[in-house]
Amino acid sequence: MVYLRLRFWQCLKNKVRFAASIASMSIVNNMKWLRRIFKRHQASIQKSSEMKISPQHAKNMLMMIANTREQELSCDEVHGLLDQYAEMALRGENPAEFLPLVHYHLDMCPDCREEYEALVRMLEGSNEFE
Amino acid sequence: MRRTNDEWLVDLQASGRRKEFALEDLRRIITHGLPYALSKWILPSDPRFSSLVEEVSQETILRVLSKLDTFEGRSQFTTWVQAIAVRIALTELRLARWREISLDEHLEKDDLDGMDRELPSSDPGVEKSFEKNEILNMLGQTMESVLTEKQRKAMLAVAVKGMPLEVVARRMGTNRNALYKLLHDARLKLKGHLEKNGLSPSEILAMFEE
Repeated sequence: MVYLRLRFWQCLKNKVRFAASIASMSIVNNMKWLRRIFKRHQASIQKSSEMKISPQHAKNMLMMIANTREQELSCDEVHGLLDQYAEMALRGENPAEFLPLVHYHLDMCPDCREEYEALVRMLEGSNEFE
Repeated sequence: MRRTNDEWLVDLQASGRRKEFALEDLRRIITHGLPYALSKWILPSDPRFSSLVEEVSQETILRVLSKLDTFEGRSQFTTWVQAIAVRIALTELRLARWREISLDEHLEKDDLDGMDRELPSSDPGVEKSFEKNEILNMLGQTMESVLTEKQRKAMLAVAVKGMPLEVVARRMGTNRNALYKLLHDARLKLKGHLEKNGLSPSEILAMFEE
């Protein structure tokens, strides 16, 4: 499978080299070729130009997709464990090891991440945590 | 006055002066800590700051009192309270920040920052540019064909437009938990689709970062 994938990208690269070498005309043909590879539905091709994603956003999404797990905690479940997680971090322990699903969720959910960081600042600043 | 977790619980469930003292101490802890928590959001010099802190303190205390029986003692009681205060405060700030912005209008706006679509040229980086454009197209089209309209809207709003889940959830008439689940399902679908077509998201990502 890995071999096939590598071959696929190799073919893709060869095709791209070809596209670059005969720039203007072949680009359109090669795009069609690539579309066939990705098995695009004609209807979706029509709409695709409307969906504009920047390289940075694509990277963000790919990272999120790549890190997706079958089982994930909800925001409320994480909120219920955030106090414990923050205290462990402030004690210099490794909360990611003991609460890996919380750690994972904080990587995936910007809202919960912001709340965790704000809680840590609050605990550190208020000196209520010892 | 420092209290143990049990003392907090007993005092807050007491009556009269004992409860009043405990509530006052709790309010003080919240108002003292909020400037640190919110330092990246709003400064104490902002005219809205003191009313926000007051509002958050009151709301936190009400919520804490109504949820006392759910405190499981896995942390200090005050840490549990502060986590509640942080969530209330950031929710308020997020909603205020995005109050005037419609979800649909925001999604319709072109967001091309950093997107300069590179067309193939004689430049040595032409292959990379071409591949990147193809990946961008492929990703956009996969989202179009695999996700439901609701999932696509949520993914675009959160992952592409960077809108807070809390805000998107309210605009879509749902809550944050349900929205996270919707996004999780969408990510699983996209991952499954890519893998089914022999494409590993990690490999595409690596190629994208070359």
